[in-house]
Amino acid sequence: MAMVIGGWLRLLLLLLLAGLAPAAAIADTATAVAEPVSAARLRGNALLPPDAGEAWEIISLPDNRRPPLVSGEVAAWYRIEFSVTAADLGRESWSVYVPFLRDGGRFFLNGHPIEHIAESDDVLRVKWERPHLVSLPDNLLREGSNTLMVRTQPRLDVSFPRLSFGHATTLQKFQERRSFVVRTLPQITIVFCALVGLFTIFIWVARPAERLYGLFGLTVLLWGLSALTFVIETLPVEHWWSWRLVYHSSTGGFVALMAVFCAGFAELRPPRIVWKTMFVFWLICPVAMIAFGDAADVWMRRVWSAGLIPIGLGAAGMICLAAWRQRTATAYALLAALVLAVLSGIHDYLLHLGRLATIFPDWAGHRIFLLHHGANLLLLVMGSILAQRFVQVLFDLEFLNRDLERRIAEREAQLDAQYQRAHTLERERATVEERRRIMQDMHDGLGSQLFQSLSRAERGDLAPPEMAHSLRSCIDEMRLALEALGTPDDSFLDAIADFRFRWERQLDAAGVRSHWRIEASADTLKFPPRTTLQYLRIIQEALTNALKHARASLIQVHILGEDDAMRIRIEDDGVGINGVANGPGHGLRNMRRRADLLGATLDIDSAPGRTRIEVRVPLAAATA
Amino acid sequence: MRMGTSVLIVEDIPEFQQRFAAAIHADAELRLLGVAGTGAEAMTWLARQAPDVMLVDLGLPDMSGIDLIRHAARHLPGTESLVVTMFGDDGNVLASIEAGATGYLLKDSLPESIAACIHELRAGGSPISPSIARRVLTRYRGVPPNGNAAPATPAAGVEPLLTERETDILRQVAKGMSFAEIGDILGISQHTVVTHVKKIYRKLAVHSRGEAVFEANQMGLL
Repeated sequence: MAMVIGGWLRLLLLLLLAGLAPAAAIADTATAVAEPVSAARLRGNALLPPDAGEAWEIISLPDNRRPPLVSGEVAAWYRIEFSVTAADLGRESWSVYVPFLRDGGRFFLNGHPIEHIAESDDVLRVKWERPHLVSLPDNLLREGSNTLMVRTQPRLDVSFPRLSFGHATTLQKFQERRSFVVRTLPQITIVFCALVGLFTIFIWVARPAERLYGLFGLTVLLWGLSALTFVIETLPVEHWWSWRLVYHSSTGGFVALMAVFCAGFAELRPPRIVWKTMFVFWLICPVAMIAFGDAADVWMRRVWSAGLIPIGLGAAGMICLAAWRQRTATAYALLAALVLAVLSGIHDYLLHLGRLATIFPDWAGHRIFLLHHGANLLLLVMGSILAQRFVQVLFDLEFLNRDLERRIAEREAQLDAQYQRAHTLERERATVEERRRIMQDMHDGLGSQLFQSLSRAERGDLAPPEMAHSLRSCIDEMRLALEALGTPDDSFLDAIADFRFRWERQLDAAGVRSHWRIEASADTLKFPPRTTLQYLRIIQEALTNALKHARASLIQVHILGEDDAMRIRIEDDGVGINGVANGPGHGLRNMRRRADLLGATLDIDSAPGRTRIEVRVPLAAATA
Repeated sequence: MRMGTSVLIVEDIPEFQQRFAAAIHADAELRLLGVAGTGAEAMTWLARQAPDVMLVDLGLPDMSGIDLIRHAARHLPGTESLVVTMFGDDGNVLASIEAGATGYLLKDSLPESIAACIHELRAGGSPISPSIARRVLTRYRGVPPNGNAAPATPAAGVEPLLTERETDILRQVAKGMSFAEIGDILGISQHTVVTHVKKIYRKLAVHSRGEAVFEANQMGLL
């Protein structure tokens, strides 16, 4: 996001720049500003203004000279005449606006020194990018013709601009405008490049697989480094060489990385030799700078820089191919930005070489370097492409996520259905098994009893009361089974409630008082129906004993559900087990057998007047 | 001189006809009005004279005893129906209660308990077993009083069919508590518990009648 905003801001500034030159022209005509188009030039190292009698040559301004191949140019004196009317004098202080004077120089007004813009010497190297405003002292200014002489020692730049004379306030605007373009914009660029570059590299460090981010981050950082050339205007001599090394290397590195980025965008894989050649070419710069020192600087600018142009053209070619293949707005935008950048690079190179002056002398006279802005636009487009890809990745990710969620949900539903099926089958199997066991029980218990009774009845060995008794116990057995099976959720408490209801009435009818206490939570006491049936049988057996044999008058049933066990206690006030003549041994044995089968313990404590039967059921055993 | 409670027996198995008739004859307070072996016979009896109590076996050869109970509940306000059941737990008992029966009698009851059951009914008591209470609770929890509303989820603010007290009583019954114990727990007399149970029975009958009307309306019969 920061990338995109930064990019847009840069684009905005670039548009501002486009309106700069015409605006300056309009300002020129609107105010009293004199811009002499001719001057006299004298080459010589004299430190004081030479006489008019010397061999001055008349030249036109701006003076677009081609720089010599070897540095060590002699100094040049420029003599510019301008006139001031009486009306202009004294009203406001005057200045001379110098759009550029890269190597600095000394200013003389009517023979008097007025200003010295620092020049390179044994301790300091200068490379002024800023425009200068030199004030013309009132006391030296004359009505009518005045002479300004400028002595400059060209090291980096041999051209001389067209100067403007006028009121300081007017000229200050000129200075501010140019200053914005050649100083402020690069400063902004540097800050943005540093931020965006580091930000992008952070992304790349976190995800090394995203090579394009690393590439872009490095490209941006190199460009920011290269743009420092607009900001570093003076430097101690001992650092100059290393700074130039950094400058050339980063500029070359920027162009090379940009080409790699473009290849990545175009999805082209040029033969390795192409990249190797490019790397070797780039390597020439630091090697030459290290080998030949400061002297290599001018060769780097003139010759080596030219080699960057084919790289840019190659990148443009790749993007051209990509645009033709992809036919996307992105590809076209990148192509346009790249073409602009390459053109502005060529422009700058020609301007530097002094060749541009022969084609556009006026424009060249302004000495505005364009690659800086062209590259900004290019970086903006590159950044936008990355941002777009990033957003696309997010969209894809969202889509994938949704797709994944949907598939997981589907799979979950399938698993759920499968589980349900398995569960249902398991339950059906368990039900069938349970039913089989109960049938077995019925067969062995109820069936056997009925057949015995039938057999005895047929033999005539069964008196009516016995017969009734036998049949009643069969019916009771059936009721018991219904109570055990009649609870839909295996609740032991429901079963015991039905059981109690039936027995309470039965005991009531027999004139036996009963007292029931059930203290348990419904949730803990859940047994399979057959287990419930066995417990009910045990209780039923105990109640039958108390009712039939012990002749009790009060029976207490207590069911207590504890955390890990259930206790069933049946107490009566009958004669006790030993008091029963025709003992209930068979019933007791049955109870014990059932308890054993269920993993429960059965305790019988019997004395005349008090019999207590207690069943203790460990809950884990009961539910297992 | 008291006439005694007149009883009509509707039962198709002669063995049980005799058993019930004997139980009624044995009790001085009870008077056997007649014995019907089929639904049609019973209808004839009912047309002739409304009994105080009608003992109905559900499995009649020509019609369901439930229809007979419903007929009596609708047209003979003075007649109380007592449904005869084998085990007292089957769904038919609840269906009979919904049709208008106010009690049930186990088929193997001893003669004296048959008479006692009829007297209890006349005195305003209705027996209710835990399994019936459970069925009622499961079925009528949250059902609104008028059958016209959808029974599944009552609208907010609508009184449920069963009052809180009635629900409490049913819960205790479902646990196997006797009426006396329930009275102790809820701080009311045993008699009040009995009245509540009877009221629950009547509500269920009225409710299901409303529901039947509602369903008939839905089907376009009325």
